[in-house]
Amino acid sequence: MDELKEGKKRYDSVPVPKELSERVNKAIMEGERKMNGKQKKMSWIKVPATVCAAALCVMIVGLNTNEAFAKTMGNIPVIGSVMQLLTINSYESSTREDNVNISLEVPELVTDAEVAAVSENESDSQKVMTAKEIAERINEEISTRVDTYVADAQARIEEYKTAFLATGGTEAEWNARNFAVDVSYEVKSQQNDILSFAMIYSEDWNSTYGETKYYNINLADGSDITLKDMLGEDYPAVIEESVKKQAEQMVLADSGKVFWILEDDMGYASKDVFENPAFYINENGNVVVVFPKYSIAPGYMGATEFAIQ
Amino acid sequence: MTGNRDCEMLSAYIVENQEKFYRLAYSYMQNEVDALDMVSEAIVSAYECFGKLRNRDGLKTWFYRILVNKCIDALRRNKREIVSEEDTFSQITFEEKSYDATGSVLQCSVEQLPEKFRTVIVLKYYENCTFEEIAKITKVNVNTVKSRLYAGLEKLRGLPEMKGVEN
Repeated sequence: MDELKEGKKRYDSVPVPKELSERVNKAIMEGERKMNGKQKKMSWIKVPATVCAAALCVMIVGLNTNEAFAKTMGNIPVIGSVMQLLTINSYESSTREDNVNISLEVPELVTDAEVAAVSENESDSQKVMTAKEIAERINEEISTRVDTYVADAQARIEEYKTAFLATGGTEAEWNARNFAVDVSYEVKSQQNDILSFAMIYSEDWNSTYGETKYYNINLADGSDITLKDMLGEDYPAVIEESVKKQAEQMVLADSGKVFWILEDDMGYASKDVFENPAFYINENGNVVVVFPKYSIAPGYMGATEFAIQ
Repeated sequence: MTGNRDCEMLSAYIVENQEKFYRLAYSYMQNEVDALDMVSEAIVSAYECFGKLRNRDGLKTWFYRILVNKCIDALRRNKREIVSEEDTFSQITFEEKSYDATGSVLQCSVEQLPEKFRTVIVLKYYENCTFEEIAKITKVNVNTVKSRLYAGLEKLRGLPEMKGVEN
């Protein structure tokens, strides 16, 4: 007998205790908490996170959120004038038989329905949305997108399973794998009735379908804030100039960095990459444009962000 | 600055590979409670120093190094405790020699190997790491890894028979 082989058998047959995944998840949470503690200064962004933790406990009882419940929750943090963005719809669902762990942390705009948003420009003939209407529009948009994403992600995993089994994988091997579909959000800023946040969608086994969608909303009238509003008519040129300048400096500081946009004829980058980039508004009130992986630089550079002053 | 994306990548990697981590930790600790503790501690430490990891492609070797170091540290601590107990509870044990099919004496099992040899064998044959990866995990050079591997194999049996060992 070969001791190496025997040893491997013993090694592989060590039973994995049920507590493992729970312990791992706890450790991840603790780790993330420590990491965030190090990096982020205490700010109001923390507020929804705290509420989230509080909400999770209550959520077991009040998962089927009713309006009264939502209102009670809405009273806890005071972070906005007209509206408050907070997690009231947050749950973890784990379907063990197909090894797919779906974790959703979905924000919902909550508002006191009695207060209507008042436009500063009363003569504006455009219909002014009430705060409730604004919240409804955004919540509906988010929830539709979350539903679509989760359904698509599940379909992709199912498709992968079929391929996995068809190419010689066994059911047992499949069951030993773990998949996670994760939806979360991050508030970027909220100042002067401008709310900016990101919805982050991801699958752990397949980064191709991860996506981040930014919402920049003017809470005074419920409209989406555009790059034109922030940077003027000529915004593509403004962005191009600023991004190229910053990219050049980054390359000078670190020769390991590469940007296609600095090459002649933009390299592999698409010509219209500055036309309509994704963006959010940071706490200084500046536009931060976000370019996905591969759009302006090689993949190893990841997604890149530039604050436009 | 570690972004949300990186953070997700780390947690995804950990969740996907948690059972491997557990087995690796178990191979050191030889008991469930300690192996679970080591995995947890390694994860928390990984988050704490994730910002310093510059090359994200090295995630696997980096995480394994943290985990292996946690286990080795814990074993060292345990050893000290056991040494202090030894005076009062010393036991004399008799171990029967075992024989393999060819009748040659097995020197010892993988679990009984000294730590530095065992680590190399476990990573190489059980976790399918390359010599380069093992070198990074254990922070020694590739030649040292190789010589430890061969020395370890020799300890397992008089002469290692490399055939039949899938790799």
